[in-house]
Amino acid sequence: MRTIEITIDPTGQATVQTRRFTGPECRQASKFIEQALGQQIGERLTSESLLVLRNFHRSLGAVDVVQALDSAIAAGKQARTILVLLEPVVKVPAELERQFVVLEHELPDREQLAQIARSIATEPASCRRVRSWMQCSTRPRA
Amino acid sequence: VTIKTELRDQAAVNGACRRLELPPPTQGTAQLFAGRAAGLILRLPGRAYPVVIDTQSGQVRYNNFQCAWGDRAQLDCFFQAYAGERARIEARKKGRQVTEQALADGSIRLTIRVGGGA
Repeated sequence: MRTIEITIDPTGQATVQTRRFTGPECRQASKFIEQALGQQIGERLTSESLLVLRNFHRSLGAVDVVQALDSAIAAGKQARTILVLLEPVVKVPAELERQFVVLEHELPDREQLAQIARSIATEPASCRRVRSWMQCSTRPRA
Repeated sequence: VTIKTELRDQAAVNGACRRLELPPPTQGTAQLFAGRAAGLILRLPGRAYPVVIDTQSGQVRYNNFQCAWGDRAQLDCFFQAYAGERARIEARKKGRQVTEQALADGSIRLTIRVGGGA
């Protein structure tokens, strides 16, 4: 859901922020509120970042890494940075368990792997190899 | 975007008065310590002189004398209430839903749902 947030401090100064907008539309979306409230005295562009840490489970045993991750999550709540850990095993330390939502995905089956292979195979030789692999995988084993 | 609030809308001024349980403003000319001023006259409790709002320029005229004639915080509170009301009015004009939340530091946060997106 896209939203416009207006925070008005106790002196009456307002800060307008847009959420879930992309590109120049974020400026357009809040223009009507900004013009209605008064005179613009400052502007800072913000962005939402997604930081993906692949196979990070091997580093999560170290105390300093866990602490750094905990600090990064806290800072990310302000700076709108979201951390995603991509791991083959679920291994979230107890200190961070409440900070993460665990989503488990099944490994891809042969048909899904074949689709991926077909989508990236462009050379005739590569396409032949994909077809050959598919035939091997569907042939009943003795 | 950071905005210095300007009082330009009478409906929002009235809304701020209702929100703060103040008497509604009157249109006219008021006597201040230094001269007279015309506009929307607002009487804040405990202030020696009224506050006069010029909705054309968005500016306010008042006498404070180093807060001896009234607490500046009262006026700040009025600006905050005005900004909240003005944002609500503008959001409603666009058919948007607004929710309000009081924050621990005394600020208020209005969230306007625009729809669409993830």
